[in-house]
Amino acid sequence: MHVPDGFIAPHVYIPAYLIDIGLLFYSFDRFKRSLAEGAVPYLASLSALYFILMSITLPLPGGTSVHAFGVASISLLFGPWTAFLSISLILFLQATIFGQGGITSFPINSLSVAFLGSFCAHYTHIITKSLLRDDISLFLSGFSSTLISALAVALVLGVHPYLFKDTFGKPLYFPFGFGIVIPALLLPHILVGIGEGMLTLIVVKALRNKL
Amino acid sequence: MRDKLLLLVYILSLIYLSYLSNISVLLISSFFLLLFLFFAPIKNKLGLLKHSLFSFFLFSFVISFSYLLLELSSGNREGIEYFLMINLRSFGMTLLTFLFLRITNLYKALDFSRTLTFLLIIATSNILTYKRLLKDFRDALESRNMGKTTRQTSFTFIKRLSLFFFDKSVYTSREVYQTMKSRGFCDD
Repeated sequence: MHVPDGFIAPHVYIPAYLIDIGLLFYSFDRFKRSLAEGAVPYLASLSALYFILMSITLPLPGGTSVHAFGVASISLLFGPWTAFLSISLILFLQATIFGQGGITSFPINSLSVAFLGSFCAHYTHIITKSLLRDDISLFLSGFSSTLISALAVALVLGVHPYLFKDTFGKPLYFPFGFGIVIPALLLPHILVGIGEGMLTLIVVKALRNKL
Repeated sequence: MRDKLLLLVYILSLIYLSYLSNISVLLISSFFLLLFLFFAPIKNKLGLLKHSLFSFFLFSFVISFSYLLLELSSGNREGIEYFLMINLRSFGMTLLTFLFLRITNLYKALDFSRTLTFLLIIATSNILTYKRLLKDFRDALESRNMGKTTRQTSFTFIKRLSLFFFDKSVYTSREVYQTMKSRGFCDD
């Protein structure tokens, strides 16, 4: 999801920024109200914890390894709104201070990975925890949050060649439509989702008694 | 004030560049950005240029080159125009961002919100500390494991790692809060 600048149309990233900033303001206000004091340092520390989770490499069967997102772990431990806030903060720092990922793709990543991913993990866990074993429910939360984020990014990218083309019908921004971009993003993210599911299982089981 | 003005100029230039699709205008824009880089009072100009190229190159090249190949294989030569246009735009926007980040203090540019500035400063400082600690942990794991790390060892390592960083996060946030409070920074 490290989409560099130039591939996302301003007609997409400007409204995405407006929606994202609105949601971030709302979630920060919610967060400040829920935490009587020390909200800022707590959020900064949580974000740093998330940064560590997303730096972890997980070994998968077959000798491969993947980098997980850590989104579901933070969401299940601290709630989806707090997760959205801390993950967005890290994505912003990555795009600016650490120079990874485009500044125009930040709101797309924030909305798809941080917002959709967090809420998907949260609701998957709520729905499945009474039906399935806890381990499976935690794994599914991580797995589904990764796939929903990848699907959202694929839809945003894939819509570009249909909406933004020149007079000869040639693409002006991202060139591939849904038929190519959805499988290209979803198939590799099945592996990432397995890694994310495993990370969620390990981290949530290790930390939830400490909260 | 200087940093806030530069932030405004950067945002407007970025939006302008993202609207461009004419190759000649994109070439002129890239030329002016390179000229600015050459004359700007910043250190390690070549490093900044390399960083800009490396940041956009992999994704941009893979996407635009595969599109170019698809177009050429179907006998369409216009794919070359797209290849040039998207890479020039991506390069221009990336170079502009890195130039902005190099000549501006981002924390000062965003200090219209005291909370946001504190959040960015504390999070960045925590991340830098955590990154160093994570490297120490990885080195320790490597030095204690001859050959390939087993899956079970990796899972135990991740569990211990998350416990350590969770405790550290709770402790650090309390410590930072007390420090901020004692210096009159907290308004909550």
